[in-house]
Amino acid sequence: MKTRFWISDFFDISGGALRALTHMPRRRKEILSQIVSIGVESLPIITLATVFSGVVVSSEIAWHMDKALHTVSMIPGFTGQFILRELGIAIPAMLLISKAGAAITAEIGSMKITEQLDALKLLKINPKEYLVMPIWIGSQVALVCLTLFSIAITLACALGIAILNHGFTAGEYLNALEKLVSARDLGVAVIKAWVFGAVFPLVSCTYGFRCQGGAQGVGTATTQAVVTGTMVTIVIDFVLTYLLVR
Amino acid sequence: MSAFFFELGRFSLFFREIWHTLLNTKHNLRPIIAQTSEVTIRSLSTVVFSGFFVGGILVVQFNAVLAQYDAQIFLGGLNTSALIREVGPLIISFLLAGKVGAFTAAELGTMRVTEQIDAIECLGTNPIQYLILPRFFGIVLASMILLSTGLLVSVIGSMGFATALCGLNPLQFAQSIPRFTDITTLLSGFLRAAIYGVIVAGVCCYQGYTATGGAKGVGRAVTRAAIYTNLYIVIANYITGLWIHLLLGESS
Amino acid sequence: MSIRFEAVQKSFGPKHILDGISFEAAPGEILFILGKSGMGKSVTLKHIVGMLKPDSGRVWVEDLSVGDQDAQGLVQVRTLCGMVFQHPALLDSLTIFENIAFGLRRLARLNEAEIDDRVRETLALVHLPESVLQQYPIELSYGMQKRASLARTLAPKPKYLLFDEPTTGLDPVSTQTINQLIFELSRKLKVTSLVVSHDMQCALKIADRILVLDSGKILSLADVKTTVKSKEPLIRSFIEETLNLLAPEERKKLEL
Repeated sequence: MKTRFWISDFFDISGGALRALTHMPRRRKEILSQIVSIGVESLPIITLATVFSGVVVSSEIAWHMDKALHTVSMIPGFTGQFILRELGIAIPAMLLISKAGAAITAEIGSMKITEQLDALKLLKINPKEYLVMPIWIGSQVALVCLTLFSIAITLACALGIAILNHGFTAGEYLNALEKLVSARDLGVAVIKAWVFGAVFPLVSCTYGFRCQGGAQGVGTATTQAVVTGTMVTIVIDFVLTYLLVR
Repeated sequence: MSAFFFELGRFSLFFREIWHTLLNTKHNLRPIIAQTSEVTIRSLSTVVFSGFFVGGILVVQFNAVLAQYDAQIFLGGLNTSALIREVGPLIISFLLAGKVGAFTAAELGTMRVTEQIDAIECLGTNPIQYLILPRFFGIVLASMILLSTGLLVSVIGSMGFATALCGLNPLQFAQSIPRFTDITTLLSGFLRAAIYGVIVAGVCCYQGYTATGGAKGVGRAVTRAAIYTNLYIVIANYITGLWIHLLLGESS
Repeated sequence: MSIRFEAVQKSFGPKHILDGISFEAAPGEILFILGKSGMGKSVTLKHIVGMLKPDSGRVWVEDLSVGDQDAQGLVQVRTLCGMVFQHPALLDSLTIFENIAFGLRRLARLNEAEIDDRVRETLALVHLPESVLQQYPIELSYGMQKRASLARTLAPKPKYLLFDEPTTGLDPVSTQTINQLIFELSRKLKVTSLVVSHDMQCALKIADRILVLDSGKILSLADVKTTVKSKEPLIRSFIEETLNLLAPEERKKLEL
């Protein structure tokens, strides 16, 4: 069955990435360039998305709080918790999967159909180790950084909304925030971002390496990579949330 | 930056063309129905699968927060409300942008670069009427169908996860729902779904229709479609949130 | 009455693709439009069917000024002029029958039986077997797709045929076939054909006149025998190579 082959390719590629870790020091420059291309290029779009979501979420939570508990004093706490535990991680992840995930698949897929992968093999370079590793590390670092960045901005927006709409002062807000949000939450965010950042590039690479059928095949693979990457991330998010958020 | 506004301008012209064609040409419902069912069937499993787990994520998150205040009785209502109003439409539209949107952009893009769209025009048919209208409305209608299904599955999934993992029983879960959700919640959710559907349909049809440059161009069109769709959805999320609060008089 | 260009200018950004060209196609002739890549050959054809509008000057198809037509007028123009694109451009989701009938359903008023007859008639003109009618484009070879797309253009019986690089990308045998077909059809159906091409050999064999474009201007517009004797360096460079490939009888026909 096709899924079986996909899964075996997936593990093959993941193994390749792990094996190539020993080359990390030698390939610093490439890894850095991947971090930049994956992370920095997505920065504008993630900033924009984060600002808008931050504002929306704060308003929504405030509205719900009002309905449930008739109090606004805990808005900073709840908002902060939700941002650190879920929203601040999900938004950059979703956007990165569609942008970088698609780009990775498209690039590797193109290399496959233009026989560049074969060329590498003839030079005794295993493309599954050589190409995947920088992308893999790059994605992890990029997503963690983008997540932290996104969390900071979302919190800032939430702060802004609270000041404008609910009469908080910055000091009050930060105090209330501190009461409910702890370093543990930040740790959860980093772990989640790290795991997401490690999984989606492997999914994208797998689709890229399995690409067939010329330019159209590259297009199909790209779409599938984004959809599968998103779905896998949702499931992992669920599992991690259950395990870590208590 | 100016390129962005130029693109936005061309994009609005595209919408105007669609509107114009819609008003001025005879219509045939069959292609629209065909497209709608095709899109729905293609994306159903993805939407159901994801909806189920997103429900689970929210349930666990909210449970953790509410448990701090012993307010778990509100879990059902809070979860359902958040799902229907915000999270459901957002996640499902993201997925549709990826699955449906990219597919449509690729299909139209390929037709464009192989001159099929030019051929249609030279053979006396308006390509907007023949190609774009059925796809556009097919995607919008399918989005609404898929969204409703997805939301239903999410809510049921949430209930299931709440029972299995958070120690509530279904009755307790359902009890608080009316407190947080009413007709405005449903309207709000559907309005968002319709708007996001229009965005997915519009952006992806536009990018595919205006693709240039051979196979690589198609790839670029697909990537741009995915990115812009997600971006516009997030912005639209914000704007509809504002309007809904204004129109339905809910203050924050 | 025919296809006429009057001082047509067209620029894309800073580049002048067409810089004041004027010519008229003689009714019933086969006119080849030659030139280096990017010199405006396809752009010329696109003006005739109204896919592009001139920045200044006019393009006439009989008594219709193409650039000034509304949607209805454009349909008229496109009924008169059939365009065969560089790609076969067959619609992937329709059978060959439906593809060929596509223009008929919109450009001609025929009932189903008449459409059926016309499709089969046109199929025979391009020497394709009836078995392809129920197949989809993807099931046909590239050469057959090209012929099917030719059939599609011919079905509404246009008076003018426009070919955009008809033999680019084809193997030598298919190239011969298509060239032969263009010649045969032009004579049989008494249509005026404008062929944009790189294929000088083909031009020398089947064209009545050759129009050479360079830097947006007409370098030469003359019958084949005159063109072959031209002293223009660009034309000479096109010709030298090709002449060596011609068979002796063909060279004699050109009076060399």
